[in-house]
Amino acid sequence: MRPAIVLHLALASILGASFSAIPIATLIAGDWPTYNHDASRSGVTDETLTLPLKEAWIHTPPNPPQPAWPRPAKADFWHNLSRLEARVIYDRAFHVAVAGESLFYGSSADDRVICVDVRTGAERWSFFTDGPVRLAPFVSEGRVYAGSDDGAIYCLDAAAGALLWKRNPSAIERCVIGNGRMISAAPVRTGVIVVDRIAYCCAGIFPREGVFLAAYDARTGEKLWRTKHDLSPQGYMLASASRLYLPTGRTAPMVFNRADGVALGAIKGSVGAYALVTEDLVVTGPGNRGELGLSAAPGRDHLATFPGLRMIIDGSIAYLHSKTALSAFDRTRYVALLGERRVLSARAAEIEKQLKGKKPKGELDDLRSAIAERTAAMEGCTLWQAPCAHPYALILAGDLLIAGGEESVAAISIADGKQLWTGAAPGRVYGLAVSGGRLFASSDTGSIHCFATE
Amino acid sequence: MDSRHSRFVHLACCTFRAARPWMAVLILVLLCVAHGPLLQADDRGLVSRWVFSEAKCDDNLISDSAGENHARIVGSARFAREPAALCLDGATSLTVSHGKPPAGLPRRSITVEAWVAIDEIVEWGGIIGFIQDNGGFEKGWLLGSRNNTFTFALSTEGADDGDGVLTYLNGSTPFEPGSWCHVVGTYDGAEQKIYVDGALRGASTVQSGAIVYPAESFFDLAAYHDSNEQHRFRGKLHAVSVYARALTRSEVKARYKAKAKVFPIQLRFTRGPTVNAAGPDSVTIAWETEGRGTGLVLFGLAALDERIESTGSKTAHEIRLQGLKPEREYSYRIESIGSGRIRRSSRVMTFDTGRAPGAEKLPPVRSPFAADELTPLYEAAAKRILAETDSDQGFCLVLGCADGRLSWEIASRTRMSVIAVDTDPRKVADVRRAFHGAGVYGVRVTARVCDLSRLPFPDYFANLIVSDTALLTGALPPAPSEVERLLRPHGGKALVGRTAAGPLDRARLDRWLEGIALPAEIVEGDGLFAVIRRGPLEGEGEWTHTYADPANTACSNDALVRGALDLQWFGRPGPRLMIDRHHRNVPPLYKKGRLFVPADDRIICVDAYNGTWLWDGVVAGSRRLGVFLDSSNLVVDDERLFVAHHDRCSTLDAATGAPGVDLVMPQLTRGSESHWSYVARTGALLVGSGRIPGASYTETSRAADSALWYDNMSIVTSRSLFALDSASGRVEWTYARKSVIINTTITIGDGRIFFIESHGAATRANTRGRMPGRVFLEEDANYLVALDVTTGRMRFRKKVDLSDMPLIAYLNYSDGVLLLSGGKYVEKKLWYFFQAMETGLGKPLWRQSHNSGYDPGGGHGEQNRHPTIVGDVIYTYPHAYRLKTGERLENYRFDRSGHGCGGVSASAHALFWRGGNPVMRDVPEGAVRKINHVSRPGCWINIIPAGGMVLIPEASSGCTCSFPLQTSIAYRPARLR
Repeated sequence: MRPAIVLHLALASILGASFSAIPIATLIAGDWPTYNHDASRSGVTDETLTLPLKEAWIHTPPNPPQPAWPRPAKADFWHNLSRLEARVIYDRAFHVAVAGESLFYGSSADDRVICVDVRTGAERWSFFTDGPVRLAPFVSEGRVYAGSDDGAIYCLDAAAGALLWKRNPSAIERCVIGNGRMISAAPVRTGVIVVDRIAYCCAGIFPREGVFLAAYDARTGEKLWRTKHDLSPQGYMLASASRLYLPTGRTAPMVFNRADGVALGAIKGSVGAYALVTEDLVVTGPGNRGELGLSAAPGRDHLATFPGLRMIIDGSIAYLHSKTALSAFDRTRYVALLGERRVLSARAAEIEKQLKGKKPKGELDDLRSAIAERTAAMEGCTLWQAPCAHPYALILAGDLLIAGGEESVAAISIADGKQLWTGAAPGRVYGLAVSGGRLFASSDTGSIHCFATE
Repeated sequence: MDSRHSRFVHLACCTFRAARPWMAVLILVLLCVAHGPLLQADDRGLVSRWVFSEAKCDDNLISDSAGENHARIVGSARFAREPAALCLDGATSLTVSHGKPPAGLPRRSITVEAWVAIDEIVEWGGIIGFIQDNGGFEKGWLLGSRNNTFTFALSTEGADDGDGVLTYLNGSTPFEPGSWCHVVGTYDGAEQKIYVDGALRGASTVQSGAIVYPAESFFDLAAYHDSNEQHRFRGKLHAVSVYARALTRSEVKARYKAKAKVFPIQLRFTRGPTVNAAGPDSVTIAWETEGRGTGLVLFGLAALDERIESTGSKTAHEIRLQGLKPEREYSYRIESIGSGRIRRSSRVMTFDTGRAPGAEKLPPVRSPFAADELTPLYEAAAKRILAETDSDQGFCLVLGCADGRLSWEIASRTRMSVIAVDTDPRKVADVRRAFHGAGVYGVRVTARVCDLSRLPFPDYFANLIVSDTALLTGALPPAPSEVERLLRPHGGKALVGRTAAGPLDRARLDRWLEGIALPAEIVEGDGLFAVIRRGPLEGEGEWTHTYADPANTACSNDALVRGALDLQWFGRPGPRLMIDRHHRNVPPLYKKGRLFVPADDRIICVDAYNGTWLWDGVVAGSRRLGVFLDSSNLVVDDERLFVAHHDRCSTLDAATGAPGVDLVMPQLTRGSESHWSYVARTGALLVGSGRIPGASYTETSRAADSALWYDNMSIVTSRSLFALDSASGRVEWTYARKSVIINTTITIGDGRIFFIESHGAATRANTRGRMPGRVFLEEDANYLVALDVTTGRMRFRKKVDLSDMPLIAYLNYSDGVLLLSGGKYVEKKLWYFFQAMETGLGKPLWRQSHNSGYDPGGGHGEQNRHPTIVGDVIYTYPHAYRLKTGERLENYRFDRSGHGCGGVSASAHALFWRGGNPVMRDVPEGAVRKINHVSRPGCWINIIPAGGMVLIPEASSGCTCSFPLQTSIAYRPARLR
């Protein structure tokens, strides 16, 4: 087990750690506390992997994941869109959290929260809930937090799986048949996040039945606040220093004040259940055709939309993952140029409106030139681009990008996008985690593969 | 070939033809060997040619064999062989240059030629071009596609209005996606032409003079690309050429013929292909062709790199593909070699693999319980219980789970999901451990701690309720009222008791049943069981036809559905198998607790009360779209679902989906085949109509989508009516005149079948069987006809005036009143018109009309609002009228509450429609309210208030708008909480 050093983000900043994630009060170095590492879903860890890796073990649950939602329609004829992207895929694999020598996941197939020994892949303990557990747990300070389709959130002792507390944010006891299972009328499909020793979650997907965002003392389960909302949250919840972000299935994520759960409005970006938040940006997607929206944080203004499925942001560098390619770009410069172009474009539009189709005057020509310059400069922000045949997941571990693909997982150099290693894993690898020098890959077959240095 | 070669060949021929014929032939052969490629066609004026084969691609560069316009592949490139082609995925660019037009591009005349297979129909498609089309700025040229036709766009000086005018010359015939085509656009300075497969498919003289080029643009292949649009191509390219002259018609034909054999001929199917899941990793593909031939399926994920052949030369083929990856979309193509060794090939199609949505029997897993003295007791109990149950699907609730042994017996013998509940947490924990150890916990059996007198489950959900505790200890569930509440209507059963030996006597069971309102009895023999049965809910309604009933009321008369609703179930079916919503598929049907959901060439049957996927069946060629301009092809009775397609009605067992007999329609139009159009069940009869093949809407595409909106919609018609005995298929009566029957007016009520037929010259001359409503406006041409529905005898036939209904005409019947309705534009507003007639002789009762407030050209189905009749009130938009008198209801106004295109369905007390989300209001008084804010119904009727439920199967497929859940969803009237 790696040293469990508790780092405070302020200290991390002082030490120059390349955190782009939102500060989380207590983070144990080397751990992978939840889906995509942290409450901002950064997918970034300082952990490093020494290549080549070798398969250490395979954990095979009795049944594969039972995703809530089937595949989307094949086409939208009216908009001439074919091969529509699935917007709600948060539960296609058993995403994992890792703390010390324990790996945790929730099962949509058998309703359990499961703890696995990372050294052997053997099950250590499991805890049954009353419904599918569709999202990865959150591990914090020796406790495991998980939400279930049964409408409750659970706080378990990480060592033995004992129930420490259980809360029903909606207070709704009534059940319905949802996605083929008997579940609460207000299922928890956002997961639970723990920030500054406060556990946040949201219960319910049908406003008429009741949708409640709630905050609890992570230690005692004492309710701090609860707010009712008219939305349909599904997907991994996120947090920033002052905000909570709730993906809402096929629509755009909603923003809330972290202090009291007051709704602040929807992100004006690309729709879908994928999201990533940094100190200044919110990335959402994957839209209808695999496009990411970039919005300002903590505000909600839409900045840009571009093709892609997910993104990793590490300091000033962003890695953009599409169905066929991976690219790195200087996101600080890109966003600055984007801002300048937005201002110029707004001014140009204003003048065009005034001209009403008349021949452009000098200022408009100048503006157009300036816009073109910014556009060209934005293209110049790309540091490298490389084909990538691993489109289903992406994380960053030290100087390696790890990508999940069909039947395999790959390690890619952040320097130039070159593929340095691949390992076999059955099915589509939707979930990745790195902790303690090990790589964990979860696929839609339900299996969890552990790779470690040979 | 340059002109010197050409002249030389000609002279040589003349010289030696005069001498000795065999010498001439010999020399010609030698010349052909020496100049073979040149002799195939005249390449004078060739500017650029790209041939797309792997061998000719160097570092992603496709060389221009005639010039310097080399094309670079930007993105992923994949080449196919036989024929050689570049396969493009819609994301890859094929770029020659960006900026000024290349120097050698033709100026005075041009030919653009391509061998192409387009996989994806798009509104703006490009094969090659140098074009700018930005508002009024229109310059350059393009060979490409507009929806499903090829197009050759051109801008010249002769048509220039200052910033250019492009003429998009479309080919007159549609192309089939995935099929290889030879497309040529020519322009000789005066006339613009387009050829497809060697045949002239369009010509225009709008353009003349020199070609006008934009100062800058993109010289791209495989895309429509200008400064504000880039639509990349999905399909295959074999070769593209550009000439600085116009090839002649004979040259085009010759060039097509010279290469046509390289490309496979289109394989045409008489049935199918249908793809049925045979397991998570296997599918069965079946098809029929007119002629005999071998069968071959090429398939794969990224490429068609796997193949399986069927045995022998035949017309009906079935091939099973195994070892597939689950939950994937595969591509496949069918090939056949028939007589003369001619190879025919289908377009590339797709199928999904995946776990069957319907539950399957458990694989043989070891029981978690060791055999002991209790084993015979549990086995006997399970057999006894299951012998009493009607279905082995759905949900079984075990009240008092004991060790879980009864749960195991039921789960292992049926396809049911078993929910075991108990008050004792230790028992629940034991059951969980046991079933988890057997690998079936969660996916088939779950257990939870519950207060058995106050269960959290929704009403009506359980197909079967049993008690392990009662079986083992004689302790009965504490609240029989809960058993009663949870039992599913239409056959739900509770069996609580013991087998031969057990500590439970009849007196206690009698007492337990006291207060139960449902039919209950105590059954002895092989034990002692209290049996509670739930039949249909009293007051439930049905939805067995397009508009609920053969009278087209659009009202189920369900007396239960009203007021506040509670969510009952949601989930599958999802959008994947459904028809795109804008194409307005036929409505779902409800009968006896089953919801029949129309998908694409497929029917899915789900349990109306708990959403269990009961069965699904493929009926190839049964797709029927634009139902509001036609009639549905689905109808259900107590036992069977009838699906009209081609010349027949296939029958499926309503409970199991098992195919039954096909009932074949009589052919009543001399000299031409008819297909089955309208269908209805009444008495012992199955009533149908015959239409021209192809008259119904069946295509899904952007163009087909557009055809079902705005003001230029066409109505489907029939040429005959007939009635068959619904069991035997025997023809009971027929009706065929030299007339055209408007499908939207066929109505059954009061023992009669009513319809409007036209004897107009224009309607009779229509050879498609589908025509705009204005065609029916011919004076004195239209008749309202009534036949005895049992015998087919004419009851009356009288002239009817359709002059107020050029947009649509509907006929409904209710309570002795026949209602004809439709609409037209009056002073730039859409007005609706209504004529009520009595059914004896069709005498007028009353007329009404009103201004809808809609402007012309509405894009949300304003032109065709089908009336809904609830009791003695006709609900239209935005007013309502008394059925008998036509009196307008005071204080009633229909607020759709958001944009919505669908028709209005009704229960006895409420209306339902799409107002963005599903919307309802109680009638005649009541507020409009959204049923939910998270899902969307389809664009025609798909909120079915029947069976005491509000059933909204997914029909928003293809909608990319921002709403959170794309799901089937069902509600029931709320209980007070």
